[in-house]
Amino acid sequence: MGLEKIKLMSLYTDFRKDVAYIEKELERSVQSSSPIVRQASLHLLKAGGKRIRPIFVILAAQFGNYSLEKAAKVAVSLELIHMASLVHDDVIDDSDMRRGLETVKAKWNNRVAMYAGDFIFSRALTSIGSIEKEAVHRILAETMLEICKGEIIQIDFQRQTDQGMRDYLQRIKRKTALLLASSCELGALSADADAETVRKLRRYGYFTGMAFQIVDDILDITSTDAELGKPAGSDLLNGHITLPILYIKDDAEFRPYMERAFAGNMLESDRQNMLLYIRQSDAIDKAQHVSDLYLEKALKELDGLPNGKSKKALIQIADFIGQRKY
Amino acid sequence: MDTKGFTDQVDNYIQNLRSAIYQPIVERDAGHAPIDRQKAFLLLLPMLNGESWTDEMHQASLAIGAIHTAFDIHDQIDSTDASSKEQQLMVLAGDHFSGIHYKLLASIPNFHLIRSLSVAIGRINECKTTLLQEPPNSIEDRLQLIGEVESACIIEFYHTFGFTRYISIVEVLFPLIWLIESGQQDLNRMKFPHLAPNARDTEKWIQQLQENLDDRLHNNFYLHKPLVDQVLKMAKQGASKLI
Repeated sequence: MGLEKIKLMSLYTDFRKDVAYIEKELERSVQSSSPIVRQASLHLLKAGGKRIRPIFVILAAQFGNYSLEKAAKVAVSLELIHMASLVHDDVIDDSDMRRGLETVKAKWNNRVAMYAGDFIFSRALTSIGSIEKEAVHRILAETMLEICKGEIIQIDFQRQTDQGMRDYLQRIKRKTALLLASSCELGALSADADAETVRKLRRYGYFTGMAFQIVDDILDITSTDAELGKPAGSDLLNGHITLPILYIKDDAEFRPYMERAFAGNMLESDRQNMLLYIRQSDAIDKAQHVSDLYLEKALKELDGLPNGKSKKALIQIADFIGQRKY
Repeated sequence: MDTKGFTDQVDNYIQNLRSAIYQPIVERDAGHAPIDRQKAFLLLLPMLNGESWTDEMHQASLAIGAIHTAFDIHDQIDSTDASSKEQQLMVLAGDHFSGIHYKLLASIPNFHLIRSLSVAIGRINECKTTLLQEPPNSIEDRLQLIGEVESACIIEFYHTFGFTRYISIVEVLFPLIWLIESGQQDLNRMKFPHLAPNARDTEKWIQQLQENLDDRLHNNFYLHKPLVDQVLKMAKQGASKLI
């Protein structure tokens, strides 16, 4: 288990049993009669991840009539949707490594990854299908479509340098923030929390999600290959302009690096020099500042919610997101 | 309803489906989604046969069409290299169509179908992986898996809305069409071309399945004569001869 995950888990020790139950449910939900599908699904599951979506579901559900069984259905579904999208993303990005392990597409092939991703998605719907609330399904379906739209736009924008802050924020909203917002919203809804509480928690999840993705984009530049489990600077190498890059892309000395990264002919030493150049600029601090602003907004949403272990954990998670190192 | 009526109904359904799954960037850069006319025809078979067809059934049939289209586009992803923009968009188009299928079911809302169809989708992907990576040796087992891949969602639809008597047709017809396309060496159309049996076995199985279908069509229940003709045409000439 990674150090960051251990740190994150220490923030919600009061809910450790619930998290362990969800972990078991996740494993149970991807059991399959096909050995390859089972191996492929478990492969990614065992690789870990922060499980931030399930945690948000559990914590948000505490603000209503909490039932672990109900919350677990939602939590498993959201984590599986996230996992399915990662399996397909690795096909799109032609990635061989994720979280320090071979990707499904590298271990088997693209088609197995497509089928495994579709299988995991089907299990997500099986899990949430038992919650017979129209709003839950409407919100989840809309979220899934928005995530997909964000990825389609990202492909369309690939290697385009004429992008602005608005384009970037729209993209990360769809890529990350909406699923975290839905995790909080659906957790609260599944526990019949009142409308104002649901709204506040959704906004908390949204702002936290924006900050989470910005930090992720910063870490793609500031972390080592070993910490990331993939080459640092992968976003740029895949043609994606993230917030730190937005701040530096018009720098005359940086531009040739970006052009070579987009052209796919970057040598290893060139990549290291590029990363060093970005790290030494003020782009990282500027991006970090935007993330901090989102976290402030997230914390503000928690004002007015009843104090307790759950609220405390949500505050600590927001702090953790702002300070995480990889 | 005559053949022209069937054609119009299937055309109308395909047009509605195309509009439900429309995504401008995908359409612009990866082209029209591959909507399977044969599956559309068989999905609508109860309606074409004069069964009562509610708005809920129409909505659910569009959801099934969306997931079929998602499967078909994901089947076109190259095993080794999907790095072109077109292939990347095809991955995402399939995910988008899957999302549309869920949105349509959620908007009814039909929770039972969300659950039962999700189980069928899971099973289809298990079967496809098995056929791709570790196919069974016997033709019979292969045909059974191919039948499941092609018909599982339609069968779930029939079960949900009380059309179970139509199941006996689709469960024979899909493996039969696959064999006919293999016999015609229509490798561009057919799925899992690497599993096509030799010519002698193909002939033998086609004959056996045709007899089986004929028996089901004439003994099990009433299907309007023009529909029987249409199904038999597919059973003899493959999906390319569809209305």
